[in-house]
Amino acid sequence: MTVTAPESAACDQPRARTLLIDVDVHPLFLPRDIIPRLPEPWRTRYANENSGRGTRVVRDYPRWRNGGFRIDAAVPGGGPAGSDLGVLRSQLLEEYDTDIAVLIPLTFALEGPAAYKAALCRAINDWLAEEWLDRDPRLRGSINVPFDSPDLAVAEIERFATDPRFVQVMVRGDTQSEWGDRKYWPVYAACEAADFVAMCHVGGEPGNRYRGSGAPSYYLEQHVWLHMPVERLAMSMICEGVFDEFPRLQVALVEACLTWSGPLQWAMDAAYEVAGNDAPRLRKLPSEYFRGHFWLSTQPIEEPDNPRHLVQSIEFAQMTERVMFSSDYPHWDFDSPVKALPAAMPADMRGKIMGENAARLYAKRLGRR
Amino acid sequence: MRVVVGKVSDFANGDRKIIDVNGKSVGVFRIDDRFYALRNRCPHQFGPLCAGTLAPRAISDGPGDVKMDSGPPLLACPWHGWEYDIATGQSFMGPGRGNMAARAYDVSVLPGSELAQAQGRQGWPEGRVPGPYVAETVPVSVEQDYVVVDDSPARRSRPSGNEALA
Repeated sequence: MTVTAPESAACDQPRARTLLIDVDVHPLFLPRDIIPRLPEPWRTRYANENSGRGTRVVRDYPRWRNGGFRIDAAVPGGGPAGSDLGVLRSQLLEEYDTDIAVLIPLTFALEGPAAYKAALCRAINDWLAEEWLDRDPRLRGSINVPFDSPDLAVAEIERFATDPRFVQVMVRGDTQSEWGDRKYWPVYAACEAADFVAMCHVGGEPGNRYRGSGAPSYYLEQHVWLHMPVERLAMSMICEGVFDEFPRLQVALVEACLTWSGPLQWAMDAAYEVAGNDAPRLRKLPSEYFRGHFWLSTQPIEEPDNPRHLVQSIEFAQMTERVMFSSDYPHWDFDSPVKALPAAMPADMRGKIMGENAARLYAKRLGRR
Repeated sequence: MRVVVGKVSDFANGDRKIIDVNGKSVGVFRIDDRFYALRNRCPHQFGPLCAGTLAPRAISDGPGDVKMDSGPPLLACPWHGWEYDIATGQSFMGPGRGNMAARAYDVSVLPGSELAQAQGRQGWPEGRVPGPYVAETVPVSVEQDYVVVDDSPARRSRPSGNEALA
């Protein structure tokens, strides 16, 4: 396998150590970053949203550790964690000698008229490109799109289709319809055409719309349930025929844990055996679609009492080639590249997870830089 | 390697300093009239432990009855929040896991906990149950007006502990 080395890490000598690609890193935008990049009337609307009662934040349940951030990631001299490239360079890229970090700017709330959401996504994407991706060749970006307005989402994807700084499109966790719905197919078509990965990272959407009964009472619940909406996403996309229509489309499920993926495949296949004609779009075993199109990330890594059980769960799921390391920097549940994977993990699996698998998933976009 | 951290008078109650000792980052804390020193590395995922929050442990016998336990304060790692007794480095989160699963983790069992027991501590304060991790303690002493940490192997084996009176 060949990997295009990022410019800054390009050494005269071949690298002896493991390739490290971190697929979940969160830069934080502040109103000062967005307001100058928004046209009116949306600038005023956004300014109003972020004044008076303050920035809109999720208040359903308090995050139990430091507002959800590593204490030591706060910007010296003032500024919240994730808002400064210099701190991220020092604490992540240089601390761990990261080859590539994939930036995911989360927009927990993305509400309002479609044109406003589109303008906001455009401003966020421009901020990411100008303030982060242009300033460090180890960084790659994820495109925010107004997912429930597919025509506007496609326009934003096409704006970056040939831009080597971006590697994927963000599929929202709070879609108004199930993810396999045909209305989203133009978005998937645009992703496939540009070799963009479709990436879903659920988290703190207000009210947690991806669950009909609303938000849980405790952050503990929210913190460990992130695999639930993406299991639904996987089943919906498989059963609705998305991958039959877009056979090259690849989907990354980030910050959604690992160990569920084997049991989901077993259960889908068992149901298909007895009721396959209930989902007539299926042309092969659901597990074959899953292992042909989905990728997982490690953080928050499950820590069973016996660490071998984690390794076995990846083997049972036959996902050794499709699990990617993620740190979630600078959030409180950051996983360290040097300590997160258990010592019990075999070296070849470790090497794949730490970077080789992500290099394969993102190869076509990484090769453009 | 002996390193003078500073004068006792440089430390107000609650102050901490993070210093380099023999290539290791070490945190030195003053709490009331005692000094403590711990390696600035959480055994869980190597987070910068000494940048974390210090707090006593709240205990309760029932609704409406809350008090702070009498043990040394707990230091919470600024990442995942694993909490450590600042005097011994013993963690008290994940109770019970330490007994059966300690070998599954990269645990560093260091003299601090043994020293504390040698000094007459029977068990842990107020019914605390040890967790799986032990943070690395570093000997600290007060010599005349100066706070000194000592990371030399010989010094570490002496029962001076990582706790010193101002």
